Amino acid sequence: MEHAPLNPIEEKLVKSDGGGLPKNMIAVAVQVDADGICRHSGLVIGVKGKYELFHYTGKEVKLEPLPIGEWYLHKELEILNADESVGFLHHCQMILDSANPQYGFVFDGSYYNAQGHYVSTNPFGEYTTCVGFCINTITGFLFNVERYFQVEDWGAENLPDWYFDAFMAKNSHLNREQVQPHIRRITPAEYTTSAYLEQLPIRKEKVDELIEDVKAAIVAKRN
Amino acid sequence: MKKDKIEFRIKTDSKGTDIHLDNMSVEAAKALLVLTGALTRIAELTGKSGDTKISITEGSACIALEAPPEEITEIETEIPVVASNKSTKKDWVEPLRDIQELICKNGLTFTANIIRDENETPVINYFKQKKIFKVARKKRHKPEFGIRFFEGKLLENGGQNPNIHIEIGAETFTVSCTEEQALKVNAFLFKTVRVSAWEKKRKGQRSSYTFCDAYGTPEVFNDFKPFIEKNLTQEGTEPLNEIHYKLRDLLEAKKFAVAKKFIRLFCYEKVDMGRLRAILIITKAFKEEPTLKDMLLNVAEILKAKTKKDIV
Repeated sequence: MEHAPLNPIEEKLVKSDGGGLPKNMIAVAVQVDADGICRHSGLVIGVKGKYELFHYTGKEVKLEPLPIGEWYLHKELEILNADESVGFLHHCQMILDSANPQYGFVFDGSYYNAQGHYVSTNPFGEYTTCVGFCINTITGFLFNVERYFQVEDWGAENLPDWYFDAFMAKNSHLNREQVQPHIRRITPAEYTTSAYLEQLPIRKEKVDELIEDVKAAIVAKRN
Repeated sequence: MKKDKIEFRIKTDSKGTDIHLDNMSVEAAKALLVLTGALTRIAELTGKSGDTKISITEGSACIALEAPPEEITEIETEIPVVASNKSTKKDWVEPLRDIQELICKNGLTFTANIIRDENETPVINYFKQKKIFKVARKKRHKPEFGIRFFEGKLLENGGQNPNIHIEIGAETFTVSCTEEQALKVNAFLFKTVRVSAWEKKRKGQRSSYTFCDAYGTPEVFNDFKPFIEKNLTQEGTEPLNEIHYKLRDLLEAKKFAVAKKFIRLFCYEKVDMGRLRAILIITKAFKEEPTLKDMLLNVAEILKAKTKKDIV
């Protein structure tokens, strides 16, 4: 039976352990469950045919060989040339040595600089999610642009009402007024969509234009 | 989870007698041990899923490695590479060579198959070749570009196509340059000059050199020369790491003029994207620094030309 041709969005979304990958690549990656829901995010870096996953598990930062059979899909970043992957891997190695994030839905425009150090204009420390961690990593690799995501376009509407109070209860040493404006959620699907965009910083309205197609492609690839 | 497998069978012994697991000759038992050892090592190489199994079953003497399809594909890919003696991976060559030596010995007869959805692909012929599997030597890393440091007597300078001539011992090197650069080093005529140049290697001919920079005092020259010579032979992320720390030290010490000279070494179209981006991101906080600004814009322009993308 002949398969229908893939649409361009589906075509560029690749099962990470399916083989046949380009030797060099820098890609955003999402882990997808059996229902096609994105559960986790990372970055897949290929250097001369060796592939690694860089991610924040919620407990620790890991740079590890690309896992097999764990349903990662990836999309190469449009904004970077794949042959810059060795430089990107080096950037990840620097972050691996320095980063020490704690889990929290905090998006405040922070990033990891070339030394792998966490840079933020806020005083309350290194809180992030798996998505935020990847955004902060990509941001630190940029030279001419200050931000990968315009995080202020996003809000806390995708978080349950109780989230902020629960976060503050767990991190009672933090100042509520300082933290609250930066509580947001950028989902793994939104993060995946960003890889299709070339204009930086990534704006929510541009993500919204594409996200349903990207979600459909994720479900199609998972089945 | 769906599984495929690679399967080896010991069919008959040297007397032509069929092999059975419950009644094996010593030579067949030894062969089974070799196959078990080799497949176990291969399972350790591919078994990332934790879902890899080794089985020994009756039906002649059959030993199989069962694993998810991706892992069997990996094995199927490695076998011809090893068999053509092109593999640089010792971990793969050794167990496959153990199997080859066993299969090539006179006596026992074997089958070897990759099995997917009951389709069998024989792989025995790879192991029957007489040339013993060897680890291929890794090709020496050749940098895409060269930087040469010259310290010698400046002989003459100028010409229609401006260049400078540097005498080092019995050899004289010609370095092409701009008129401006020729004028700059003219003050050293018949004296010792220290110059860096980008090297273009030409097959069957002497390399040609393009002027990069001149160094008034030996300190910077003697610092950069060994650094660059080592850096250009390093592979992977190592050279980027060294450039990173070198530049970071210079920037933290606010030695911007030296940092500029260091960056200039990489302001060349043949320099790889990894080094160019490494320079840009470590200097990001200093991109408005007057001493460095133009040099960094040059690096960004070179990177842009190479990536064929706007530099984000």
